[in-house]
Amino acid sequence: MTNLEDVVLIGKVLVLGDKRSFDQLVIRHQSPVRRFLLHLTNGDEALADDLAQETFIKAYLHLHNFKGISKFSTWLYRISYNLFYDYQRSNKEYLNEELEETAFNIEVKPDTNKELSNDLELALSTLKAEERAVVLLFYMEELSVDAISNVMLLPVNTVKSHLHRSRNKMKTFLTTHGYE
Amino acid sequence: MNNQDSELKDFFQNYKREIPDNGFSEKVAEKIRFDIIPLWYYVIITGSLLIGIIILWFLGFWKVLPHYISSFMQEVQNFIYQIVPLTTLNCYVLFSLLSFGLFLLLFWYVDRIRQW
Repeated sequence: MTNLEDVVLIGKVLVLGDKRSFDQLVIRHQSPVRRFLLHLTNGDEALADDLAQETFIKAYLHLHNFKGISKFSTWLYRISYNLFYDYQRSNKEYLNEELEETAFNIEVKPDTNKELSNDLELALSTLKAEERAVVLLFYMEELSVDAISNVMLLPVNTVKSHLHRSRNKMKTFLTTHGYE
Repeated sequence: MNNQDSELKDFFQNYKREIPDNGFSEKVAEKIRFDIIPLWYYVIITGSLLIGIIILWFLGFWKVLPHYISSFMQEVQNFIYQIVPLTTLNCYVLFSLLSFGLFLLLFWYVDRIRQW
């Protein structure tokens, strides 16, 4: 997924009004955006897809604001995180209850991959939403600390301290669950 | 610290999976279409056009329309003759440019409708 290809497709959308080029952008970026939101919402597929859909619609409507300084994917993560943040703020009580339920209702099955995924989900659920976002962007989506500070509009040092704290929390959780 | 980082990164990368599209991009495209240009917009535009045509019909506009068109085309022709001397070659060039322009316009229009 190169940035140059994204820039060409964005140019086609902006200059020629070519909606199919935007469809291509959606196809190229839907997986990482949906994955990020899926983990951020602790596995709520419907909510993650709704937020992802809104992310792309917002991106289409404000595409002329994309300056190309950062990667298009970074810009998408920023929109999706802002949407999640707004959603969380407006549904704080509901979301907190739901996250607690999700964290306690995950069944551990004997399959190794499932076990790994469940442990990871449980480890993630021990983190606050902001910490979870930092961890997901850093370890799963492989963004740099600078890019994360750009996505979440946080100072670089705050991102680093979130990473440090989350790492310790996850380490403690995973050690107590049999990982070395 | 770096060792811990790479261990955690590996842990996350093992779990990382691609999420299949499963019609997601089509849903987004459909939602964009209806969010940006909703159906009622077309209904109002078409309705206004039809009402306008009916009013013009009753006012007898159609009787004088050919005259307006021919005098407008005459103006255009005079304007072109003023800036481009009328030679056979120029006629060919102008005609080719005009045809190409019309073709592009038609292509763009059909393409927009196809996208819709």
